[in-house]
Amino acid sequence: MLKGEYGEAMRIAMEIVVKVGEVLGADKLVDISHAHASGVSYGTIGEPGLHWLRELSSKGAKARVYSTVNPIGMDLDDPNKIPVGEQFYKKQMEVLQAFKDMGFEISVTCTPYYLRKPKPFERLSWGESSAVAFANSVLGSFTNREGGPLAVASAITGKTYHAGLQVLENRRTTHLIVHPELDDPVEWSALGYLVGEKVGSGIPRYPKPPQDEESMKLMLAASAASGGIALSVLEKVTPRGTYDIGDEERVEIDEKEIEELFRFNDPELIFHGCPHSNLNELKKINEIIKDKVSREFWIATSPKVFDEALREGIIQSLENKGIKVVKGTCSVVTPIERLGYKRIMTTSAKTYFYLNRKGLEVALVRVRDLWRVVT
Amino acid sequence: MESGNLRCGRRLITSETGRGEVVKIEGRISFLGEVNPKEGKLYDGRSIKGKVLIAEGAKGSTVGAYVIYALKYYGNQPLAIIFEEETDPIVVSGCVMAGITHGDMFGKLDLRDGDVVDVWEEDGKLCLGISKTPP
Repeated sequence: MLKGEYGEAMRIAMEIVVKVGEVLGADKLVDISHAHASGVSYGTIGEPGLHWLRELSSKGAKARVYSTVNPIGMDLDDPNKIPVGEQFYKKQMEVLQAFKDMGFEISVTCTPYYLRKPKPFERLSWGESSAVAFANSVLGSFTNREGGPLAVASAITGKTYHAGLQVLENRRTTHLIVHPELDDPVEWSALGYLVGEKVGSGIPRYPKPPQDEESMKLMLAASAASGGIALSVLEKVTPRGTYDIGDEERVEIDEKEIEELFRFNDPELIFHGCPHSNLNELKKINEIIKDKVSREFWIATSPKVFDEALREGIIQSLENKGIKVVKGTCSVVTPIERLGYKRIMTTSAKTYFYLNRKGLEVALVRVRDLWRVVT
Repeated sequence: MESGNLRCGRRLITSETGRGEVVKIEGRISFLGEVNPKEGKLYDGRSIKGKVLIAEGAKGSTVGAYVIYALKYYGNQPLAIIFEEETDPIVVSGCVMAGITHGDMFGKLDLRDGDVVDVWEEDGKLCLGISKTPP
């Protein structure tokens, strides 16, 4: 394949996988069942990224395994929902077209596990740190945290390198997390954020993890953003045999640290859906918020969940209350700083992390307190 | 490094080889944030176009691979990227995408901006030889 007998696109893709494997000390390549590419927003990859994808596609690159893509920088259907400008819209559609031509499913979501749930021990090549953490920690699948181009190269070759978290011996815990009792999903998200800051890129173990999938998702996304944690061991959740217990350093997080992330900042925008909301979350918010909202409130979700919610009448109900449900995008990949918002409240500590870095004023709000903030 | 000295490291990607001027970064480089691909410059103003870029290693975002590719896209790519210590997957994927010569694990290189070096491949290694140092 490296010699180009399968075509130029395959040669380039194979070279990326092989060289990266070489650097990481891989002994071989392994087959994967699902590639998920990050770096899909035009705002992130720009003109050069678009050019590279187009080149690959024009050289005949085709995904050999089931392959999906991350969210984009605007609403998938309605360019006016988040006004990014005509030029951005046009370029973003070209990026999607290149992926489509290569046989990627235009999933435009950071939650590919809601499209097809990988099994324990299944090998994946996923970009998107929050999805990587969910696959490794909740589902027991094996994936490294891949850069955008590598996941594309894995899609085309159907392979990844056998190193890092693809190797069982490297899935060994390094820290034990001790924390107060938590209740709201956003408190778990705050915990994940603090763990990421303290543990860096280690493998933490939670003896008392959250019991609902939504809280797990929020917590793991936050620790992947603030620290780069790709695997956490959640006691009685992470499938046995997909990890080992190592020498653990004890890390304590107290109530005060968590509470500091929550405060009211008189927001111009409230954001939920990072990672993308599932149907449960949409239903719950629809129940919690009974009246018309008086502040701008966005919820982000995938096209798949959007359509399900549409069939059940939930989208209409949310929109009647003045809530904007955006599809295939989020506040992290959209050029939100250019839209003039300065103060934002969110249910996601991952969003908190990224928007803080963009210089916006951000605070967390509990799901149960949302109605207080928006109405 | 004195005249006539030769240092070899691990070869990862060989594309262009030849003679180039050194641009040296103290510490690790983050391609996202520290390199402007449109201008082919570091944010301190030094040009890296056609130069031999030497740093200790890399750090920073996974978008770095696209920034390295962007250097090539705008015709501003360095002749080679040389790391004294071990490289990272992001830089490797970027250099494969862009076709930029890249080697690592050269050990501490006593070179300065403006030194002129030859870059070539030998016995599966990437080598640097000093050809002349301006006064």
